[in-house]
Amino acid sequence: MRRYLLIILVIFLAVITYGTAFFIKKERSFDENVRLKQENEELKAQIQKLEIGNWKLEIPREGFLTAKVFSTYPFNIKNKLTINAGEKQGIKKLSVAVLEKNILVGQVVEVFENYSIVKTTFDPNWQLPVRIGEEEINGFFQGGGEPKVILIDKDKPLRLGDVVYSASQEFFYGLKIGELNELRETGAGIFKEAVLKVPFNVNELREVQIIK
Amino acid sequence: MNYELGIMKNLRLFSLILLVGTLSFAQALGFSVFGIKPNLALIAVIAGFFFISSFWEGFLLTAIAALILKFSPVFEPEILIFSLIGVGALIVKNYLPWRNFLNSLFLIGLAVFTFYLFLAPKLIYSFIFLKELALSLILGTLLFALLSFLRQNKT
Repeated sequence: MRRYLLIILVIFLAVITYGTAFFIKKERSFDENVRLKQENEELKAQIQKLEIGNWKLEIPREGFLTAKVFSTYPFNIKNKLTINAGEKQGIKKLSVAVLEKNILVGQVVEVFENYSIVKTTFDPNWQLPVRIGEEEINGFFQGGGEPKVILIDKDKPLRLGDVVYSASQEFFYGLKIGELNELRETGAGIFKEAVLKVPFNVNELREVQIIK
Repeated sequence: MNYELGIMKNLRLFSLILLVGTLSFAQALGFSVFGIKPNLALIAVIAGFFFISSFWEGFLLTAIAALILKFSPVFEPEILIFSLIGVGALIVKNYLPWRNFLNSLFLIGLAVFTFYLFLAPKLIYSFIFLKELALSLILGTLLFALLSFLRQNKT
């Protein structure tokens, strides 16, 4: 009897977990400090944009759709998040997700009727061409738990704190990805690489803007 | 006598459900140590496997943890992999030759490795993986000790 009860319970839980949209919301209260920190990062990104001075493109306000981020990704990998907007709300695969207006968070990889999945810059399989600082030095962004820029010409002058921004055709030019946080020489000695400081914490994201 | 044994079994299962549920919630709410999120649910489930009285209890613990960890309304491969690793550990557990304590640590290490292998193999070479592995083994040791202590005090 006890055994059958356990079997029924296991089946019941498995059906709910894998066969339905039910999930337990585990929303923590949104800290005011976190909001201010995110606003601060956006203002910093805007200043860096002005300093470089060649980013002509401004995305019109109506080109953005605000979407809420579903609870916290419970693993260290933090490579994706789910948002509460999908096909019905006009989200398309490969749409770009940003924080405020200028900070690249990720890219939509799957779209459902009312939800979408966004791959973040922490995804280890994400690579894209980037530029660094006022000198517009070329590099290659490599996502992961410790996002970094690789294949940087070793003779180019780099400073800690230099801004790294998107330069891929897939994205809007000049979306901030992070800042140089640590510089390293690679084994071969031809290139340098730099570890990035990403201006947001995936766990602290409560909403993102999707560029339609 | 059978009645008492049944009550003991249910009480033990209830305690394990409580433990797995609490740790899964802690993980889902973003519990971290020095920025590293240990896979608390996986550690609790595997340590719990050594204190269950039937195979189906192990399935139940895994299913509860998976439901609590589910973080959005869509199908999540991470949760499926979590469940499959749990079930795999439940089977492999019976074939390990060492003492239960070592078996549990071995299984926790193997489970963390397998989880990364499926979800982010590139991160296996990173410090994140090593830190998580070390933290998981420490927490696994503590949890196993706690569960052993509770069992000894009840019997």
